[in-house]
Amino acid sequence: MCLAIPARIVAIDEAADMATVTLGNVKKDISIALIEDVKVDEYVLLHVGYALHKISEEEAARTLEMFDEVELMEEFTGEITEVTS
Amino acid sequence: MGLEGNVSISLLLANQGVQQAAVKSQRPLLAQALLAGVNAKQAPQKVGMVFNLCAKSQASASVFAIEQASGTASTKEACAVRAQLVRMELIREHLWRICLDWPKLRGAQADNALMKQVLLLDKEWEACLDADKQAFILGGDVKPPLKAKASSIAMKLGTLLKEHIFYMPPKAFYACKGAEEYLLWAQYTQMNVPQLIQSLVVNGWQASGQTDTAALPYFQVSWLQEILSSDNAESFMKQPSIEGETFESTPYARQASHPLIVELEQKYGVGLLVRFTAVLLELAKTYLDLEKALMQSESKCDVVGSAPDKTGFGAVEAARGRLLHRVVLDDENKVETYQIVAPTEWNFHPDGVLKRALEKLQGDTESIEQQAKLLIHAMDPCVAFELEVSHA
Repeated sequence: MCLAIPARIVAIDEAADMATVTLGNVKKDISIALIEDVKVDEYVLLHVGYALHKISEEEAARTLEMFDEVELMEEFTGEITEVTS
Repeated sequence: MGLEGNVSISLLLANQGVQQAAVKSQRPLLAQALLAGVNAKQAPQKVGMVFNLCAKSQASASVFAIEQASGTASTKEACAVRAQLVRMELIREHLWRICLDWPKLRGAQADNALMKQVLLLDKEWEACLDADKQAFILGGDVKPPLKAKASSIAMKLGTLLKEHIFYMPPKAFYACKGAEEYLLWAQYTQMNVPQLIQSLVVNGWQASGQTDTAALPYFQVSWLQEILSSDNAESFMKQPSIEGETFESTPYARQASHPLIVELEQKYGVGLLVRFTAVLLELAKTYLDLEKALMQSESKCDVVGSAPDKTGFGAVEAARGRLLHRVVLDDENKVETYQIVAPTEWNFHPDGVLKRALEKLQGDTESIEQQAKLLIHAMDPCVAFELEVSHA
């Protein structure tokens, strides 16, 4: 419910305001039209195809760790796959 | 089902109408799994981090619940800052839909540039009000924000709303009492928001999806305690109802007494026109509340009744409706039980307001599909949705 997912930027298409993000082995193209100055290797919170804002690597790791704790990572990457398709 | 969950909606059409609508919300109940055993002090921040889309509303409901359960009182300053952060979040979430989704509903382009400005203001607001990140910490040392800085951000937001959403000051929009005046505004203002309202009129969809679902009443703590501590708690969280009745918790439910809504409702019932208008009125009203709270600090905290020992409730009126948290702490002040009842579960209940509204739709397939999308966006599920249309 009401979740945005942390993901790492791996490529940027500035002209299209798009980026490719990754979580584990899953990749997805997202819009970066709502945020500024995003760079490769930075982390963003992802919601319905948009990067909402940048977050630190530590914050991303802490959030992902919480899902790991309850063994939800599999579903987590499942979510990314759903958005990708 | 993904972690974020989704809502699937299917419509079975026959005789130029919807014969049957099915609404299925598949959103996992994560709170208990994520928070059981967590130290009470850490819970609100963890909640804000995980349920990060409406992080302020979630963390606010959480910290109120934890405070009540642990017998800790909030300071007036903390309550005031939390309320202001929640207001900005509600404004941001409504603007998200208005900037990114509403234009697409009438075949226009999403206004990314405007939403970008909104997100920057939201960030600025948070930095100004809660620079030390104390607002959602149990017993946090919350200081009153710098008034001049907060007022300047509010003023920028007011200008944005005036120039890009209402085309008049938010106060003037909220003061609009007559349907005639409002519909003239929609007809003659060639901009995104009024044009969506006008498109409802042009298509004759003002009354589409009329319902008479009652607004979610104020919760009685004793009743909540009974249902959420019973064996039925999980099914209640997934598909909440009260004595078998479903309720709606939407901007319309909160704006139902506004004179413009009353007049539109008399003419068109609670259909698309009323629902979209309620979102706009709520946006204006929340901005006015935010502005007012800068001038005149709130003097009390919104606590949900009194609860049994070690139990706490927190309720927040978030963008999509009322959000409720209930926590039970153990003797070491760790979370034993953590429950969340989210507004989407009321509004997207399999027998709830959306289903009833969808079953009232009429027209050809394309028209019904378009009206259904409008209805779904007006009620805003907060997660992705799928709409499937088939014929009997």
